[in-house]
Amino acid sequence: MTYSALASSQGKQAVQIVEIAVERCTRTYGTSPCLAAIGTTGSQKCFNTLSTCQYATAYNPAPLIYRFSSVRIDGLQQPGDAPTIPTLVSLKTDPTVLTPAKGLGVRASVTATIQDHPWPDQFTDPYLSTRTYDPETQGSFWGKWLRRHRFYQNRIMTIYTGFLNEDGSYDIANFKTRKYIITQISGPTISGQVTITGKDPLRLVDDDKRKWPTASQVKLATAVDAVITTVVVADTLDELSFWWNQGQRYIRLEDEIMHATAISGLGTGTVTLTVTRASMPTFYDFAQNVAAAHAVDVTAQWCWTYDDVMIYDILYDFLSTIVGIDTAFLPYSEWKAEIDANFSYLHFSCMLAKPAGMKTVLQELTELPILLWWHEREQVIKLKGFRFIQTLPAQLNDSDSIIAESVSVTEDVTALATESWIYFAPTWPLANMKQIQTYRVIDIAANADRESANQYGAPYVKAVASRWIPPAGASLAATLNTTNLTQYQDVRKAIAFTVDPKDDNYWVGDLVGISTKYVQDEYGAPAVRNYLITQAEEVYDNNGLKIQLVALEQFSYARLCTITPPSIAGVGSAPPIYSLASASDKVAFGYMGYTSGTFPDGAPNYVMS
Amino acid sequence: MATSMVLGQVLWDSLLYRYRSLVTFSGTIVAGFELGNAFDWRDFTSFRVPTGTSTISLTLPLSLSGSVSIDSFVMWCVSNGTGLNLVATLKKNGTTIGTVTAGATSGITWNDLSPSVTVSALDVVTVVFNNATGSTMDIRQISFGPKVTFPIGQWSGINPPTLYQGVVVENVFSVNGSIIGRNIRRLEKQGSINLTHLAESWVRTTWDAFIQNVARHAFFYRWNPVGYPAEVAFAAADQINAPTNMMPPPLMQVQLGLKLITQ
Repeated sequence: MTYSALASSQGKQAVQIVEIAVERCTRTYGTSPCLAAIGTTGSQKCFNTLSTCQYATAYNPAPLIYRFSSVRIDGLQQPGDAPTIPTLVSLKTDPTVLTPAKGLGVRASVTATIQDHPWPDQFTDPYLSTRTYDPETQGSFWGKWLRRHRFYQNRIMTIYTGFLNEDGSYDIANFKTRKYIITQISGPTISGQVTITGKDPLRLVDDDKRKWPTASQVKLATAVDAVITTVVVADTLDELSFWWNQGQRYIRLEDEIMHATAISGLGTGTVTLTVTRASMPTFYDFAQNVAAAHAVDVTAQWCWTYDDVMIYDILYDFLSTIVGIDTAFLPYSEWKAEIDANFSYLHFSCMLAKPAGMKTVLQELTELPILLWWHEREQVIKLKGFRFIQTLPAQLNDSDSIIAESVSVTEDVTALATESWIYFAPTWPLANMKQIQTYRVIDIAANADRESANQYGAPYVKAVASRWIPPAGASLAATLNTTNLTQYQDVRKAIAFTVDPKDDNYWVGDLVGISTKYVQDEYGAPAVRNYLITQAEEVYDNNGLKIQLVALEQFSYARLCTITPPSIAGVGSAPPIYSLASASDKVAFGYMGYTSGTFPDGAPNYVMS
Repeated sequence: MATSMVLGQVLWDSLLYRYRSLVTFSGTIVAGFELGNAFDWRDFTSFRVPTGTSTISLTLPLSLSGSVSIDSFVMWCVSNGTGLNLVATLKKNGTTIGTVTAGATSGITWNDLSPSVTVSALDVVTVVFNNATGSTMDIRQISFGPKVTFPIGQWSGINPPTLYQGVVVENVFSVNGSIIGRNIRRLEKQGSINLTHLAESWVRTTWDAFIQNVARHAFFYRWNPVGYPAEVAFAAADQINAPTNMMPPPLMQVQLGLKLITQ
């Protein structure tokens, strides 16, 4: 039976499993190449972990999985695995929160509470028979584990949520998987519990974790005047090889940015650059960049430049090359297809000439109408733009989806914007990007009707400053402003509600048609609207699993059509009848509907335009 | 319906666990399914028996004073999708004293040794496995030692652990009133040992030793060895109440709350 079949069945029992991936050495204590010896490198043998290793040069890690479950599960443990320990007390997930056009949003996190217990060190101690103490009566599982695995941070934590078969047996097909990065393990507490906290992989871009470019340790080896075009630098850490091989060419000495046209000596510790003095990408104001003399030992900060690069290439470079996120989490082809098909205008230019927090930089990009988030279930980072489509059918509704007494409706007044401003074209990369005087151009889109006395009666301004849009990006800024205004010029509804697991195919980032009596049209009927799911959370209570969703109303439009001639130029035949028409036909051509307001497939009638 | 007093039994004093550091094994160990899992009194670990013949050996230490009477041999096996066909033979110094054949499905098998066998220092007790089919055979627990038979029966309050236990059911209704889902939560199997009119001497010797052990470890529990000898549970103490005196003196009563697992 599949997950979806069990989720839809009556009488399902929900189960949770937490997996922690750490490492264990494949060597044997005291056997070459491990030359550790009792009495020489330590008083007792190690536990084949790095924290307890006595001969680190021979340390050879191999993956080791620990599993903790909410109930005892047979059949999950395979040879070489640790036993599946049924000590998972609770699992709390704080979901990704999408904040469209307001930045990166909130990172998904998970907290697993696990009961500590005595443990005889079977499996966990490869030299158990040589110990002089009884591990069953000395210490506890987690007390020992934390000491033996001190370097657990940034290891992968996998959560499995699903159902056992009706006979209680385990089948991986019945479980959904989510991955997080372990950030902290606390405890054991006085009640004998530990808590493991994990966050989604986008956590790795946090400012305190990753800055780019990194602070350079390359130093000027020979003083230069304001004219010389040969610059010799000491590069003892060989930083410039990576920089040069990535196609980067700009380097900064104090307040002067130079363009390197040739390089020699990479990897030797002393590198010679041929440069064009006081040179920057053309989208900056050259008046800011002045050639000057620089003394010995001045830092040569290598810069990182994107010149008219598509958003998906920038993000892939950030997240894989710079941040080091596993490329399995970065579905580049999917990003490219989505953006190329719908948002081909999303190409940007920028130079990072001093270390900048990755989170700050991504935040600036996602304050534009760009959505970037960790999809816990698909285990990938998703990228989308704002796309407005015609109103969808009521995929989630009061009859067979939304659980009674779970609906809460609010109006997202904080997002209201009758004017959208984008400051862009910064003077140069060393300017303070938080100051609006840094930017040379502003684009404004406004809806005067909304600001009139008869409507909102005042302007509501959403202003964004973007270092990513160059002077030539005026049309891009205008498009982004129009998108913002379309979405936020009206107060949108936000709905929080709960569904049964049978409807859990809707998740964060999905656009879904929702109809509920708590959002009505002017006639009192449940209004069908398009909503973007901004939060999704699996919630376990004593009685099982439910899915809590929060969705934000999106601008949508009625099913528009134009009158189509009886035959189509270039095609020569009339459009097919509705029941035989393709989806693209139904978008291109109008059809006469029933007085009920819908077609036989449930799609709404067209509106003549 | 039973008309005579039902005397429950427990097996908590496992010689394999008591002398666990002296236990050896002749066969191949599968990582994660180590030998110690077979007598660690845990329900989530297991020992994988290799194909063919293999042997667990325990040489009783010289420090063992007196003797120990072995009258019970219990094995809890787990089926991994194939029928079990595992034979375990208990031997003392090479002489067979008991045999347990695992059933066709997962479960606990309690074999009474009649007559009981006495072992003492330097005796070699072995469990010889014959896994002829080559199927994966996991042993959750294996135990032999002296059982405790309660001197008094328990007339009420017993929860036969193999019966279908309690379930909490929650129906999920939509806004418009349709039943759109149903969640269930199986309640843990629970029971209790409530014994009254006990001799003071039995409580001070047998019961007190039992209770001190179950405060740390699980044990095997057979609530009705006569009427339902196959209804054996792996039991863990949930709440241990202090023994109290009762009328008429010097009789005593004891109470032990249990969590029960049958498979």
